Amino acid sequence: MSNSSKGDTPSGMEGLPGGFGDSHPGFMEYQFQPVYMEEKKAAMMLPYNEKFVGDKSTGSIHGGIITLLMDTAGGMCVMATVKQMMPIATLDLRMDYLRPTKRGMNITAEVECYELTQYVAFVRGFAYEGEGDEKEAVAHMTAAFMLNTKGPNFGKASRFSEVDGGEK
Amino acid sequence: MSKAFDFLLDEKNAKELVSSIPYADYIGMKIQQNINGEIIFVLPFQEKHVGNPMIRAIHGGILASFMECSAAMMVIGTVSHDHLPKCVNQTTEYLKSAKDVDTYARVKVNKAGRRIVAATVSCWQQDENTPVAISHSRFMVGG
Repeated sequence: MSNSSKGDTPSGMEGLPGGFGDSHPGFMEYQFQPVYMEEKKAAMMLPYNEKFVGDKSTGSIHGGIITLLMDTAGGMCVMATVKQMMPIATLDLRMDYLRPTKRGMNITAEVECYELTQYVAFVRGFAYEGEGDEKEAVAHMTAAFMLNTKGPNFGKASRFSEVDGGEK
Repeated sequence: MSKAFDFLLDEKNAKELVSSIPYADYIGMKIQQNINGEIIFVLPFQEKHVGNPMIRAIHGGILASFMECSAAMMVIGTVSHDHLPKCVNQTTEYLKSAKDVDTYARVKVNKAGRRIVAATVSCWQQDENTPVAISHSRFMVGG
């Protein structure tokens, strides 16, 4: 594994999805790193890893893992918007793959919640590679999440018990 | 059945195809044939697929990945196995939560054009008639 170190937990992230870290089998496995979480917005980073490659000849990352990253970032964004760890479910998710990623590049998903109704949250976002001026969109996502689905509330888990929302 | 389709029915080719795509190999998917000789894609359950540890549901992104890989492999089998098809876009509809058991997928190639191939994937666990997710994807083929 090329990158297994975790950055500092961004402010407002304590106990929120980024905090899944060591208790979540998936997060441990994919090495997703929360970048920020603010009102109606969230970002999550996927460090480059050979095992996620889709095309050996170019070293480009498989679309599937970008979908996985964006679905996760989308869920995190919904929780940042409703300001609680309510149980949610993806209703549908559309990915547009704009260009193949380059070998060795980390992918960052930036997602925003552009509409919130009583039962459904609508999110959209881009996945980028590179940073600053070099930043280039590689994929686009739109998704709808059902709110308050049956199932355990993440907020009821002990380590999240004192958390009732993200940043104002 | 076309010559290209026979390619996927060959167990050795199927294994080589999965291992040639590191990510498909990583999620652990397999290509199988059912009793009617149809191609079925299987995702044997693994702990790393869990997206919601409290209800032990498979992550929606893993399902979408599995469906994308299945569709891509079917496109390879149907159209050509010279080039890797590139996914242009994919829409995934989640119908029910996927439990911690094996998942199956069946791919239907709706149109195999010269440049674009459109496919629908249906994904189920216990009962094929109650799919857990359905996806529609488009692939660029050739070159």
